[in-house]
Amino acid sequence: MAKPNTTFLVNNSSNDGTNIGNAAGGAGDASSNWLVVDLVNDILAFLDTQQADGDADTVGPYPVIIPAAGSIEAPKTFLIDDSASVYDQIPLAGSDQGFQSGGNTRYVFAIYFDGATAGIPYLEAWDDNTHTTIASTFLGAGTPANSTLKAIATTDAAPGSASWAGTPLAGTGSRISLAAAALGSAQNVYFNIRQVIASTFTPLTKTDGVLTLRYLYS
Amino acid sequence: MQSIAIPKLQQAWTFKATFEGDLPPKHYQSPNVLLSNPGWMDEHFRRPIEQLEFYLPTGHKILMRGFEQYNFFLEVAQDLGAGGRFAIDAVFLCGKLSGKPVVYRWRIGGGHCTQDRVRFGQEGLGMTPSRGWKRGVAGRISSLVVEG
Repeated sequence: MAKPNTTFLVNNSSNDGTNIGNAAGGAGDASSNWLVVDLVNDILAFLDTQQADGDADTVGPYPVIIPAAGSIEAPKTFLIDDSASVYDQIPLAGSDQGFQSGGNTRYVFAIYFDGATAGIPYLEAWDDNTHTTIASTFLGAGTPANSTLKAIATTDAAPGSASWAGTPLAGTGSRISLAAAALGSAQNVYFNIRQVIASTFTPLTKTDGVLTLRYLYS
Repeated sequence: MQSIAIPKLQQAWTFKATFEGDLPPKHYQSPNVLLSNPGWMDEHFRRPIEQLEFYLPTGHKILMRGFEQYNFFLEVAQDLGAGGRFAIDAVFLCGKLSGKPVVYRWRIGGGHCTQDRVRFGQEGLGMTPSRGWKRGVAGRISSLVVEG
């Protein structure tokens, strides 16, 4: 088994359908539309309602407003598309606690593997690309349960609830498995993700954080 | 016929599986697993593995023999964000004890070479199963680092 090539994609439509274009993305099932992520230059951003789909990347960013009490789900999720120089909204991202069309949606973020793996693939979050620390307050400042990033695997089923909570992402101690078993052949795995900001959060911008796909091959 | 001497460091990051019996092929020698397809899953090993060796960049090698089953895999990480870095974080060699759900597992990565023992089916990431196990020749086990 050679190393499988992987392609990250986002569904930038409001239609919950599978990625039938695999590594090429494009028109998907049920009128969904899958955009291939440029892992080097594109950025995943959790922003306020003021940010609009299609905004030029020179507009904003409009950060999430920290609530006076309780917590808030980042209202909108975007892929800042470097090649198109726009904020491309991912309407189905998150739960129904946000201000877009998230909820019990299954086909929102995809990773296409063009071959088998030797183990279950995982999605993690780290402070930076050295994968050594989870000290950022975005990741719970060392307490994974307090990570602001919550994700849920949807490869095999929808979340089951429109107000899904998700698993906090922080290092290897708190991550999600993207499949129930090692991948036996080429396939897409799916997940959804949201960011939850509490009233106690200190204003902060972080641009070097990473989502990490970790897997085995032989 | 003259043989060509290969400096041992040229074998770094390769593994060699030696098969039971005298029939050819006696060995499968992988390419550099950091640069090429290791071939572990793709190659059809017709006979059980008598011995598995992995060549380290220090000139030493890991030697495993006597196990009922063997596995080999690499752990990789692909980032979304901050430059989209891709990295091979570790190489794993595993040997399952005969008749027991115990795996001797070597991890080579981050400048370290370590061995631990885990339950069979928990040798993968997050204590999950791995696929790709191949038959071995059970016997007196060896699992150690020796001069290459």
